[in-house]
This record gives sequence, structure tokens and C-alpha cells, in this order.
Amino acid sequence: MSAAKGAVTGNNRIIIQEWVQLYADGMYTWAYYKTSDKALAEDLVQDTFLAALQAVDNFKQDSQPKTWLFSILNNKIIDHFRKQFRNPVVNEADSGLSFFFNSDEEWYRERRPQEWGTTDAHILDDPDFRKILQHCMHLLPGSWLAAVKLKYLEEKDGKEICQDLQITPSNFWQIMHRAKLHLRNCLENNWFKK
Amino acid sequence: MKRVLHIILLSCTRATELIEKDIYFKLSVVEKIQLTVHAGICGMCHRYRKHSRLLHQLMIKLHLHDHEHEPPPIPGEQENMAGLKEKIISRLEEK
Repeated sequence: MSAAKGAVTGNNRIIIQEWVQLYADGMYTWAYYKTSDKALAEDLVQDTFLAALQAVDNFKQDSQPKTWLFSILNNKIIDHFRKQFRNPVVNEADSGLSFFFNSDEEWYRERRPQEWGTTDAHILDDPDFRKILQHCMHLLPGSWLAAVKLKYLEEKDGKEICQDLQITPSNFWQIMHRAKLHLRNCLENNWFKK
Repeated sequence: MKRVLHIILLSCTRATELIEKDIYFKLSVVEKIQLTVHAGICGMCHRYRKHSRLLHQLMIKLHLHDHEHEPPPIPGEQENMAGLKEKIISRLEEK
């Protein structure tokens, strides 16, 4: 390839390629844990380095490349979920509630919550548990997962996240309700029952 | 009779919905009382509430913006990573 195209210089390219060697592993792991999706995590890491190449002249030499790269990556992750969210409609037909509750709105016998034996968030330190959790999250409908992700990635409170997503509070907690019913059930079947 | 009871003491569908509302927003005084009574007599919803709160904690922990405390590497990804790095480096060449 010829030396320079637009603002990209050979020197900048060499810098970014070096950063790929140094930071891509950590960024991939990070993106994977945030998105629960390996192929998506790869794409986001690649997009981050391509964006970094375009913007590296704005990078201040006194800051840490790693911090800068991770901030680009985090923005890309959030952008992805904003696009994925796209105004979900919660209606009775596809709400998933009838999977858990009968027409009297009582728990189906086989879906009743069982005793888990723990209320300690430290189980997240177990890589096997993380794997199951990621698996279960990945099974959620795209827009529900996006709502869950945006809520926790951006650390926004209920009001802020509703403004962000342009939905009403009741719409938001109904999405969380359905998402967590399914997530809870999946974790119980794949982890806590064993 | 059941329906009347559900209006006063909530159905399980409604109770679990309020459990989520309680985590992200605020319950009204009436909702709070209804939920307390319902979870007091319904073991399933009582458990659901415990699990839901744990899920909330897990989600917070999973999504912390703190790359100084990187999550552990994903087992068996080394080979895949070499391929990814190569791909990105060659994509960078094209720019």
C-alpha cells in the first residue's frame, strides 16, 4: 500500500499495529463479557482499531493508549446496543409471560423458582458460571438484551435510561421483568439445579 | 373469588412485575404493602425476589466500567486471538 491516504500516515499505522499486539486480547475479553457475543466482540475490537487509526492524531501523548482505546471500544459497544434496541413492543402475544404463569396468573408448577443456595454475587468469579450467564443472556430477544445492557453498561438510573431509550417507565420495567424471568429460569436450569 | 384476592394481594404475574419496578423505580405505598404481603405468603415470589436482586448485583458486577480489573481471559481463545490480530493488522494496512 502507498504511504499515506488522507490523514493516515505510515508511522501512525505502525503505532496502531503495535497497540493491536499489546491490547487486543484484553479488549476482546472485555468486549465479550460486555456483549455476550464472540463474533460481535471481534467486530467491535476491529472497528475500534480502525477508528483509532483515523483519530490517532487527536490522541494526547500524556494519556494511556489503553485507556483511550477502551473508551472508544465502550462507545462502540453502547452504540451497538442503541441500534439493537429499536423500540421493542411489549404485548401479550410475544411477552413470554404465558411461559411462566397460567391463566390465573399463578406460577406453572414446573417453572416455579427453586432454592439456589446462594445470594452472593461472588459466584461471578467462577469462569464456568460466567459462561452460563453469558449463554443465558445471549438467548434473550435482541431488544430485551439491549435494554438490559444499556441499563447496566451506562450505570444510568431508571429515569435516565427511559429518556435514553425514549420509552415509558412501565415499558422499561416490563421489559426487565420478562428478561429477568427468562434469565432466572435459564440460570436455574443450567447452573443451580446441578 | 380468586380475582378479588388478586386485586388485593396481587397475582404472581403482577407481584413479580412490581419486584422489578421496585429495583429500577419507586413503588407507591399501596404497592409496597401489597408486595410485602404477597411475598410473605407466596414462597415462589419470595424466592423470585431474592433471585432478581442477585441478578441485579450480578449485572452490576458484570458491566462495571473498570478495565483496570479486567475479567479473566476466556479459556481456549488463544488461537482465535492470533487470527483476529492478524486480520485487524491487515485491515489497517488497507486504510
